[in-house]
Amino acid sequence: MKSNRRKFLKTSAVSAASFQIVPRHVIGGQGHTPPSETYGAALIGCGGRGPGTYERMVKDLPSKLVAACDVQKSRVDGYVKRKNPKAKTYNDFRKLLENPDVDLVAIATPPHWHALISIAAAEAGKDVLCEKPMTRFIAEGRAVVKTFERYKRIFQIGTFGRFGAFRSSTSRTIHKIMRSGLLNPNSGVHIKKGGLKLHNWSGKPGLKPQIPSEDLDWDLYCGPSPFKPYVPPRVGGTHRNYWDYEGGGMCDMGQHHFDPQQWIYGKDDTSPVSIEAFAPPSHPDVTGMWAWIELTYSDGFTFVMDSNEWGPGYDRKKSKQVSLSQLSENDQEKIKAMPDPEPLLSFGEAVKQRKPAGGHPEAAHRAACILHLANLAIRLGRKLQYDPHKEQFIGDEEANRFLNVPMRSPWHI
Amino acid sequence: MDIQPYLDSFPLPSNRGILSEINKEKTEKSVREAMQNPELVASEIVKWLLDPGAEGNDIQARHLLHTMAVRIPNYDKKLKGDIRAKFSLVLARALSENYPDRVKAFIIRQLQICGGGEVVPAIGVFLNVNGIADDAAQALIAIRKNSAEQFRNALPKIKNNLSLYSNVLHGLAELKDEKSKDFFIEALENENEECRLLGLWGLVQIADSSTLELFLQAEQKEKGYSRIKSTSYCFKFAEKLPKKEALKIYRHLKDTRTSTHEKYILEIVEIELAS
Repeated sequence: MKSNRRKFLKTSAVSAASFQIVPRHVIGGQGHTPPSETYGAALIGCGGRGPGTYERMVKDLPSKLVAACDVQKSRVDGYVKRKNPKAKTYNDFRKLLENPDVDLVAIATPPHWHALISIAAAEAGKDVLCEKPMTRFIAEGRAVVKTFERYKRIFQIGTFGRFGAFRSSTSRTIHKIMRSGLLNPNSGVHIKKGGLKLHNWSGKPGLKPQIPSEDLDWDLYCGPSPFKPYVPPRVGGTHRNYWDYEGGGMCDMGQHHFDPQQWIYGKDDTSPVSIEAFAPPSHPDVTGMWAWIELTYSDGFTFVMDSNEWGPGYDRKKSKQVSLSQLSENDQEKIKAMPDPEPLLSFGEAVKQRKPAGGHPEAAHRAACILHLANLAIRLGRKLQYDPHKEQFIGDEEANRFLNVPMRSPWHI
Repeated sequence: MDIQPYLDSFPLPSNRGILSEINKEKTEKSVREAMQNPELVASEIVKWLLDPGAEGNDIQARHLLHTMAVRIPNYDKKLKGDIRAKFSLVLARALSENYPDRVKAFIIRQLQICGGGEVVPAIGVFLNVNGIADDAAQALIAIRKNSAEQFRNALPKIKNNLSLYSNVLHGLAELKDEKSKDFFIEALENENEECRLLGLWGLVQIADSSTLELFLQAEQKEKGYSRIKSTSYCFKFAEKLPKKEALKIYRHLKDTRTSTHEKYILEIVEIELAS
């Protein structure tokens, strides 16, 4: 007999002791509804943003925490104790993904694990909400896109500004102008001044190595990244300051700032072709200072990051909004006649409808590319030419080595 | 050669411990001057590198060496010389000297950025050395040129050391080394599941249809997470093979992924079989 959530809620008080989640995969995947309409949910990475990421994932979805995982045992134990003491705990995400009761996975590890765990979760048949930034380097993003296409799973990146952008009629009009291709060449310039937390998320080089606590599986924490001597800031939020795990304030905040702009300006399926930074030489281990980065798309549209924290301000171009007035009257009428873009689905809606979420893998990957390309212009100290179709730098073999960084065995994309 | 002025142009940590006091003009002037004689500068910088945890600091030395490694390919193109290779060879020679392992690992990481085929043998030596082997492997994978031979040569010597063996198998698979077909097949029988998966992945990477039967026999023995991964290897292998052989893989999946919680696999397989 088909049950539903209302019945479940009515009866749960008397049958809590015998309640069992019927996993979605028992009934089937795409388009099927579990008898209880309750999803088995899991969190991987229980510190920092983890609990918030989990709550965002299960918003609007009837669900129950059935599993949690962290390389630091005290963190996963503490989280489960607070959230649902009956949930299973794991140290290794691979074991969690074997659990058939898990339908949904929230990933809130440091970013060097985001792509690999997202891929493995999709391969295990789970839907994923993954914290930003989506990846540590560009080739990881393409691998995530391909995997979610192959397995027909739902992915949403953990930033939601584009949903607000969609609700703005001005943003929707700009989106239509950009997607129409009628404004080419495009002299639009969007400048993001400040908000990329250079000083907050710059690393401290030269710290003396220490022995990690027995509570922390340091080898598994490093995972695909180089195995380095442990220093405390490599763990616990300040991981952002190390190239081994993330990319400083650029990656920490950049996906929030540029993901909505990428949607507004219709660039979810492409990347900049020219990237230039004003920055001093970058340290090999830790993130640091920069002044500005200019990223230009093939149609001429430009994103600028102006750190406002170090060096001279950006003064090459002025901010310039894209608007209907830049088009001929005839083209303006064409834009007005265009239907609005399809509404962006939340993660919950996407899971229920089995349709792509608003922050789907390709969009999330392209937004992450903006940040990675910006960071590479800082790190490499030269102007870069990028092919957004091949996802390779043009004529710069050494720069291309930073796009697909070899991982530590046995990890690979 | 006195490189102290170059080092001094790079910052030490501020009161907050970060490198916020960096001066772009001063550092880049030093780098430009160092690039006039990169071999000599490189041979001096390596003497300043310290084992992490040792007394003193090498923050500026690491910063300068890394900046040269990152920027020298561009200088090479501008000058049309061979300074990238010469610089890299100086670093490679330092690997045979008596420096601490973590200093050698740092030098190898710089060669990962700027090195070419000329430094591959010097790095390959470390595939046999616990603690540096994974740094060496990742550098070789990034360099690619002539690297597979280093992994193949190392493999017979390290078969009894699980982590070194896994590291080498992984490198050969990353490099899609067709000459390693037998190594991958041999790995399918390994007691360690990570090594078995690397064997399966290696076969997918080289996509040699003559190995398909062995691949399918081996992959269906896997359980748990390994079964999840071996299923993904089946899909990747199928995408690389001609349609007839791809269909064989999809039919194999249809026959073997029969448990309730593998239903999502069958949904994909049905679509592929119908297409």
